[in-house]
Amino acid sequence: MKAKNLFIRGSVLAVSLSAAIAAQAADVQWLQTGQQDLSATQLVRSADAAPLSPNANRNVELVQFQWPLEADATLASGDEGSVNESRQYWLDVDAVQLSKGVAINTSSTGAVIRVSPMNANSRATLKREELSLSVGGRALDANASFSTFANSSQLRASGAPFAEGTIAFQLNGNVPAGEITLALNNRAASSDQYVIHVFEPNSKAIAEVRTAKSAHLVGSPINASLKVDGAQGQVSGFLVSPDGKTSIDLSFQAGRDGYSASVNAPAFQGNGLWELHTHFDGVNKAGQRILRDTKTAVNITAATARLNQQAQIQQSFGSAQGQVALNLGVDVAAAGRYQLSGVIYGTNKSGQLQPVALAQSAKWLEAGTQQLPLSFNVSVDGISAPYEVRDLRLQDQSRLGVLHRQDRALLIR
Amino acid sequence: MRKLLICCLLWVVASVASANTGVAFVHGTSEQDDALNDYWTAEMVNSIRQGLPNSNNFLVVNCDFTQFMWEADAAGCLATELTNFINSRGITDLVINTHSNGGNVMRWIMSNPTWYSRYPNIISKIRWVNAIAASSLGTPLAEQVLQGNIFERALGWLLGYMNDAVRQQQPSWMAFYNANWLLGTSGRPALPKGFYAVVGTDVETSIFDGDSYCGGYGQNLGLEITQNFLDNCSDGFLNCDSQAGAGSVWFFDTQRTNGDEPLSHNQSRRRCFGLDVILRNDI
Repeated sequence: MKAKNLFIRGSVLAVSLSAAIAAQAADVQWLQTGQQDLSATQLVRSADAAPLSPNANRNVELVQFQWPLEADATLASGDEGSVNESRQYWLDVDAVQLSKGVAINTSSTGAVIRVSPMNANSRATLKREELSLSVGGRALDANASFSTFANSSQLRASGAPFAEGTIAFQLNGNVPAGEITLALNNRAASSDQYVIHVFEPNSKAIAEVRTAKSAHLVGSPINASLKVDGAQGQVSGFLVSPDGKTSIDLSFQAGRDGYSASVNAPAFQGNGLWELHTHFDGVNKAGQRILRDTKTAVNITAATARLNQQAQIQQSFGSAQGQVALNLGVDVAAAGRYQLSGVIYGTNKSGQLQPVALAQSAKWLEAGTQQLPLSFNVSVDGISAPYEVRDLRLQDQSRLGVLHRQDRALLIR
Repeated sequence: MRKLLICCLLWVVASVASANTGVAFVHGTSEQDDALNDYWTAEMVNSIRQGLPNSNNFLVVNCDFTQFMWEADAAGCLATELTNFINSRGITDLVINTHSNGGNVMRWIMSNPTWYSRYPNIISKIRWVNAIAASSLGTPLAEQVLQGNIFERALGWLLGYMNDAVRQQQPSWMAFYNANWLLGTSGRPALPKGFYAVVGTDVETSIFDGDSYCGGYGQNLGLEITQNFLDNCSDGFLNCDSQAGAGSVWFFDTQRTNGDEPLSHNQSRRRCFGLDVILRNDI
């Protein structure tokens, strides 16, 4: 049974001047950025900023919102990077290759194999009886070699848009790991292309790709690493833009803990995230060939604005009233709708800092030196100064960019 | 303790009794113009809305959730429909049932209230969100559908990549959005209102088991196959940890359903195993 919370947590800030009382003098101090923080040292020239997409958020009004947080909320500190695991790889083959037989390498039993026609025009319908499998030149009984079999309409019922004409099946446990030859004996045109996806749910050869940060500014380094459990080999990779039109090769170097590569974040293009792809081709200790493809997503943002280290407490609403109302300076190179957000921590009776509230504000900012407000309700029993604003972020709502992330940002006494 | 519970119950009853309650249904990844019949089914919606004091206070949202969640046709459309519903029917207490990616679009609005001035008003009316089979951490299926071979760099954009919502629901993409734009996942601040997950844990398909036919036997057979690409605990489209990845878990299917039946990804938007009654009684 859920214990559903009926308390109204959010509130739009609307404080009239008549309610304002002279505030206790308070001091606000910027803290130094840390290694995992994100901040721009230099802004792009406004002419270099990507133009806003037709669907970009062009809302100009100031909107503020805040809500209380639980005192025992456990909040992550800093950008934990991007990570993804893989027990799978893909092969591209044509109809001629597939009719002759394609080598499928596995390191465990029970692999799931999917074959998808690529050519939009062919859409060759693949059938179970057209499949044949062999090991070392010895044909396997197809009916005894794979159990579950699905066609594209069954696969698409999952909600995932598998390509038309796709088939998928899982090898039975009696098919040994190693090299298997898969052939498809149909009447496809020789120009037809296929993608073969091999997924090994039971394999211990897990590839893990990781980037040190998930959010990057243009020009800053993207540091990537790859590890494959129990295998050594060659790694190649590339970074591809959200629209797929730009691809940058990565040069991976072998090291003690796997493979690493670094590339400076290229200029922003398109809506969505960049993807970092790797391909591993190696062997494990048993001498089995291990193939693994991985990818993970990273965000790259042009520095169209930055926090300029100016911070003021609004004198009419000071911390003495249970309201910490700040104005933070923003240098803007390209006009857009910018959002400021942060979590305020207050000092409890034990002298420890604890989360109190989250606040956001956003409005359209033209190029130049601007300000964004950020107001927190800190009227919580047992909570007093000093306060600290953590997880301070500046984000571009018009371009979906992350411009500033600072784990510990402001100290308010 | 018992007195406290009774007091709380009375307070809840009093609060709800003075409110004008409505319920909204938010579909998953698809472009809908008749989600009542094509996504939820009328029998599901009509059963649930019987729990309302005024059973006409319901909204079945029709938006384009093949877009990125923040797009005007996605979150913008959802906000418009919810705002019109709230205003036209004077709703002051709103329960929202989302399915699959609909949970992400709803979470976008709740996580980014400053996006538009109408977002705070919607949030202020929400009692809570029931996130049924939400793809909060994405699904490996989205990645597997989209990925091509590394040497075919354009391939990814040939195999149905035009659907941005599928791209967005790749686990590494959702990890970024959860860490940077969305709230409510592990390590992130809580959402301003409750977000309660209903988790489907398995797919059962047997031609001898009548339960397999609820929601369509053919669909469930497909889900059982795609389960091979997922964890042991999944509803055929989403791993359980993704469904439970944002807000707090209300229940795992077998804890509450009739006959302790699991809910596949298709069954969790249909009138299967008493889910409609659970959601009706929740209003």
